[in-house]
Amino acid sequence: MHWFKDISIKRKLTVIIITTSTAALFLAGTASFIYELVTFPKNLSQHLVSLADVVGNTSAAAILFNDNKTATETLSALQATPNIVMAQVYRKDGTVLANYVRKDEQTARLAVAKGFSGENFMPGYVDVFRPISVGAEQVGGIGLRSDLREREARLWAYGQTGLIVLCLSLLAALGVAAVLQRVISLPILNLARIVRDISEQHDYSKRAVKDTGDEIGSLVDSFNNMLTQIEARDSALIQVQGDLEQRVRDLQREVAERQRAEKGLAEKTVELQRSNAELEQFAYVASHDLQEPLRMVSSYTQLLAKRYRPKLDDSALEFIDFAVDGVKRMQTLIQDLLQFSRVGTRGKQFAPVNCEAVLQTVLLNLAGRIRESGAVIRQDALLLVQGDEGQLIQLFQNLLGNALKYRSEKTPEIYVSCQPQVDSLLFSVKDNGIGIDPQFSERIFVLFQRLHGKGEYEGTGIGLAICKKIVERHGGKIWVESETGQGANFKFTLPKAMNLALATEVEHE
Amino acid sequence: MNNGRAQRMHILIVEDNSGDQRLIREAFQETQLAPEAAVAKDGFEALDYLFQRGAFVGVARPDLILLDLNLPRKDGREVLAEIKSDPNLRNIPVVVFSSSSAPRDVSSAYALHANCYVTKPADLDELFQAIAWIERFWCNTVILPKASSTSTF
Repeated sequence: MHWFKDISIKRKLTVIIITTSTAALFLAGTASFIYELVTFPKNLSQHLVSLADVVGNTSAAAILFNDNKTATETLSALQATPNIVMAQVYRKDGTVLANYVRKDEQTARLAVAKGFSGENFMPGYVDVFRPISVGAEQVGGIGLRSDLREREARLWAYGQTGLIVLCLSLLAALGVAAVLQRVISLPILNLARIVRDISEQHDYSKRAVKDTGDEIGSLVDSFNNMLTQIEARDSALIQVQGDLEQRVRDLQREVAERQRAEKGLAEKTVELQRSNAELEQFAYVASHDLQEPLRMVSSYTQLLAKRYRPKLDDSALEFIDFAVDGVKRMQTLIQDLLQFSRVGTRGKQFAPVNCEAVLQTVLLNLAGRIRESGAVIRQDALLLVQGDEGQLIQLFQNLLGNALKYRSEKTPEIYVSCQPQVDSLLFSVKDNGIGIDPQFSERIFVLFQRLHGKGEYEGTGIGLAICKKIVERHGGKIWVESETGQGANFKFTLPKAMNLALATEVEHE
Repeated sequence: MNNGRAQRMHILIVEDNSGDQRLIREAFQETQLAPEAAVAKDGFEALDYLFQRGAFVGVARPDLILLDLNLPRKDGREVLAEIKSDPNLRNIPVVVFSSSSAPRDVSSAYALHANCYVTKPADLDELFQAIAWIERFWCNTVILPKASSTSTF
């Protein structure tokens, strides 16, 4: 039955219908055949009996008159009945009065039944005997032999009819199958096509069309229902997938950006290292190679003045003084520049630094100037910062030095304060000196920017630039709050010391 | 005390800068003894002079060497190392006279057995002063070994 499972529904329907109709026809044919087989002998014998009676009645007179000729003529009328093979008319004593034999048959004698009554079935033949009576008296008998040709013909006719009906029923079955196929198999095929399309195109928005209200219809409903769910899930999945892809793209872009940034940073670092190395080289060149020719100029102008003073007039000596002075200023400028550049290149690693100790060092360094000016210096308790001690000393020394340098007629008063902030310390160095016009409060931190003529105050204008560079290297800010004649208040922030344990330890020293 | 100093002292100035050569010579001229000063302008010339080779055959053996560190061709440190590794030259005092005051330069010079290290002052007066002190100390104050070893060659 495997083949049946694998054929299409259309074929299955056709096969079922044909099988069913053929079986029905076969059963009907068989029934008719059996009925015919059963009823035929009886019908035949009845027919033969009535035929024998008719022929016997006609032959009665001939028997009475022993008229062989008339009896033979009467019997010959049986030619019209082709299935009669033989016929014999008997006298009362059983002897044959007349005889009829069908043309193609050989002469034979019938085995006469007793009393001329009875039927005798033999293979291929049936013998029927009837008495012939006139009134109540039996005068003789008649015997007929019939072959079964009629039965064969009938059966043949039955067979032919059955075959024709079978053919017609097959055609009808094909027609019915086609109709049924349209009704049953077509919706299924449509459904199958939709399923195939969906599975190939992944388009879950398609729907099967419901044509019927039967099981296929409910299957279509269930299928469409399922499709709706799949579509919902699919669209949710697509959305999630889209989100994921977007995320992946974002991440990729982020990673690429980060890599680019890192690469840029690495390049910047290399560039910075190179520019640092260049600065170092510049510092060396400035300290040695630039100083060398300057030294020559100053030395020989001085030697000139020294050796030839008696021969030179005052103007010549004055010119030499200008030359020597210019060279010395240039030497100072170069030294300052060198110092400025070293803030970045020669800086030490940051460590907790006790500002109290820093200030003490500075006060010691400036002791002479403090004593000479009679300055009064007050201070808060200074806390620990995270920084470079050498640079912090330089920072405080520059600011205190400025406070001493730019003093007014009053006795200098300097106040150093320190206030903790969130993660930094706010320092201030406040004086009562000449102060600074607020419009210059930015400019004073620029390298070599000076507000005073060279005659009034010494210096190249590097001190505050170095202060700014030191504070910024520590991640802090420096600014000034001042008015002309009101004294200056320099404020700056520095990071708090990171190691608190060490901080307390140092504080207790 | 001045017995050994009947003859004028000889000083070898190893200095590449001709301006400095002249200044140092001028400074020595103004000193008390005004020693004779010869000049070598680079490391090779200095060693040729000391070993009395090439153009310097027959020159007098110096009593004091004034050595600059930054020299072309052959560095002052190499010259110092060669002088101090030669048994005949190593007893000549070497005064390193360099514009550098870098601790690295100072310690490396002493490590190579320099006899003293004097930073070349930028100012003329200070330079003359420094030369005067060098002359006073090395030519007057200290007793130098007899140049007897030189007579052997």
